[in-house]
Amino acid sequence: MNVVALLVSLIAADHYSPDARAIYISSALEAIEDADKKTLADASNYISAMDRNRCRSAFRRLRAQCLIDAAARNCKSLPADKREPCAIYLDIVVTNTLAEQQMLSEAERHAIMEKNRDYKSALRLELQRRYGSLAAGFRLSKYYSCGAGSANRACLAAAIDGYCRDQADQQTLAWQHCAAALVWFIATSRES
Amino acid sequence: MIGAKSVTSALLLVVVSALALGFGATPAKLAELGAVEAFAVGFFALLVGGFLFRYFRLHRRSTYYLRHSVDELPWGDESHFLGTEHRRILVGENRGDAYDFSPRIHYLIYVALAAWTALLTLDSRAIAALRALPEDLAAQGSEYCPELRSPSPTAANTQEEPGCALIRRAYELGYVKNLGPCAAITETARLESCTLRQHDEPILHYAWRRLVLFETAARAETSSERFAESKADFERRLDHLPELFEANRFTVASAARASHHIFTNLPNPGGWLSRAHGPALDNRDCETRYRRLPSRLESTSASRHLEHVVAQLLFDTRYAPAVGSCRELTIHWDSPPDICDRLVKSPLEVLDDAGALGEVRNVLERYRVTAELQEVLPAAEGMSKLSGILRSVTRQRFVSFGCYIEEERASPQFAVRELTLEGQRFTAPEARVPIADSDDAHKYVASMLVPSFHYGNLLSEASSGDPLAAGVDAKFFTGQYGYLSRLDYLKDVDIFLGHDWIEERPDLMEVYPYHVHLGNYVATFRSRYRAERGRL
Repeated sequence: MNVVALLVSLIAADHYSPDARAIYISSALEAIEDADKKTLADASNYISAMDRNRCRSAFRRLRAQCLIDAAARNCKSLPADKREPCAIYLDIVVTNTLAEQQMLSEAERHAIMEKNRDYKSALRLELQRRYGSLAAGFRLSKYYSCGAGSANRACLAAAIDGYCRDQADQQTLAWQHCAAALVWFIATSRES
Repeated sequence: MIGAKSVTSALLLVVVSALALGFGATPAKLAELGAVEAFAVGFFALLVGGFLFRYFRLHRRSTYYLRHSVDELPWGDESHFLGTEHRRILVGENRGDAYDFSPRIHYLIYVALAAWTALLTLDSRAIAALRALPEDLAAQGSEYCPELRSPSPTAANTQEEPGCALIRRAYELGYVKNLGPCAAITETARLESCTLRQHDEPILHYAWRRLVLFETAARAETSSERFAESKADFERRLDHLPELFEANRFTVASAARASHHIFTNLPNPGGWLSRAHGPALDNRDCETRYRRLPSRLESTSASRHLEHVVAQLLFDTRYAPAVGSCRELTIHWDSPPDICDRLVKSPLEVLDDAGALGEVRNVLERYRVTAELQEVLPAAEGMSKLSGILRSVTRQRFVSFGCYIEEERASPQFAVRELTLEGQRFTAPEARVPIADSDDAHKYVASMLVPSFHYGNLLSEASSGDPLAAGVDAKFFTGQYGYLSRLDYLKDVDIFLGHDWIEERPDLMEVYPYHVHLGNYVATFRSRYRAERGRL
């Protein structure tokens, strides 16, 4: 991971410039690919539990702030070499948690809960299906022109950035929600 | 020598069999035939084959015969039928010595011909119709009243309602006095009389009822009251013949139902072709162009930006239904900066120069005609989307003017001018805005289109009313953790409320959730616009 470049971009004034976004997405892909399945599952369960309990709020800013703080606290307890990737993959998990309401409407969520006894797994499966659908659209879009392999991670990150900007402009999906969904789906699929 | 009837039968059998095997009697189609269809085909073949056998008198010998001749002179009364002088077929009168098929073979051939014809013409639709034939015959062409369902409490449904199990348990234990929404709901049967045939009604009784109904209706239609009513209606129509003619002319010609005009000093962005042909060319495919616009245009001209903002506010269907037809809104480019003054002083001249006078007059005339007809003819209410309330709506709803002038100035200035056109008072809101202030273009254009429109904290999607009194600012987007998740704070930054700091951050503007705030702004604006402007 190009940690130096990432830190420079985070400190810079144009924090969210296209280059900074691409570097971050590339780092996120790497962090998730390098993390083992159990760590990711634990992280996901932890954020989900925080969201349902301590961070539950009618005000979205409070909820987001609480989840970001919870993720930071969780990573601080880890050894120094694991903090950086932890902060990144937990950021993706938090963003996906915040995006759940956009990805699955209240009515769809209710329908899934009614139909399935193990509704948590069913919800997770449905979300994964939505991410997959988004990834399929991304793969077929004009933005994707990268070859296979980790050498092209930078190309993939730039493509995700471009595609998600287009999604935010043409569809009703926020850039960060699109980017986090794609990063999660692509990185966890590669792992398996 | 062979009889003509036998030759004809043999030829027909060969041709029709070939056609049937080629098109109609394919294995797939034959497999599709059920018992009813096979019976229908057989019945048809026997009936039609028998009829043809009798009609063409195939049980008798042929009157004529055909004979093949090679280099031979014709016999007695024979004549040439087909072929050359040396090899030909001759036709002659049969005196009983020509060969003929027996009557039984003729009958079989014609039955087979009818069967092949039936298979050729029997397509899937015909098979379906045949299949439904028994039911159709049993129904005897009547339309029956629907079966009455006995009203019953839908307790089974309420058991599935989420949360009802707990409430039911609490009710059983006596903690609550009633089940509330979880109580069994009894469907209320609607009492309606059905004049269609009852399921147990004999056909003659039903026919008698229909006859009585017909007689009652015929009496009502021929009564003196009905005649007087028709006469009065006819006379009313006769009195308003010119208006009726005009109303039909408007409908047939698809005349405009509204005419809205924006005058601007910005240049025409459409190029020389658009300048040469006027707005008609631009408006030709406007529905398609404006249906789904990008949230923002990067590095574009001021003219394109104005067109983009106007289309977003009024016609883009992504956020809310369009509030009019884009063909009925015209932007008059390259207007002089004092266009509003001129419009107020001499509206006829300005509109005539802009090529808009004809359309404006047409809309005003359409309003007059429709409103007048609605006064006298109840049937005329359908002539306007506003139906009967059209009379209480002013002409200003359908004809409007606005001026959008970009000039060197520090701050925008808005004014509402008044003008008189065709004896009616109209307003012409004027917006004079600083050059290249595209960030506030939505606000400026919205104020010009609807001067009373105001967008504030209470209308915004940003949760400004929450306990976090301080608004979101630039420092919210820095920090070691939550690079992506922090961007959710942008939902609390509504650029239409005037957050200057974010406009200086192009990196954040690139990932700004326009769909949240622009969508809300457009929906809010349109609800206000709809209250003041519309179509006939």
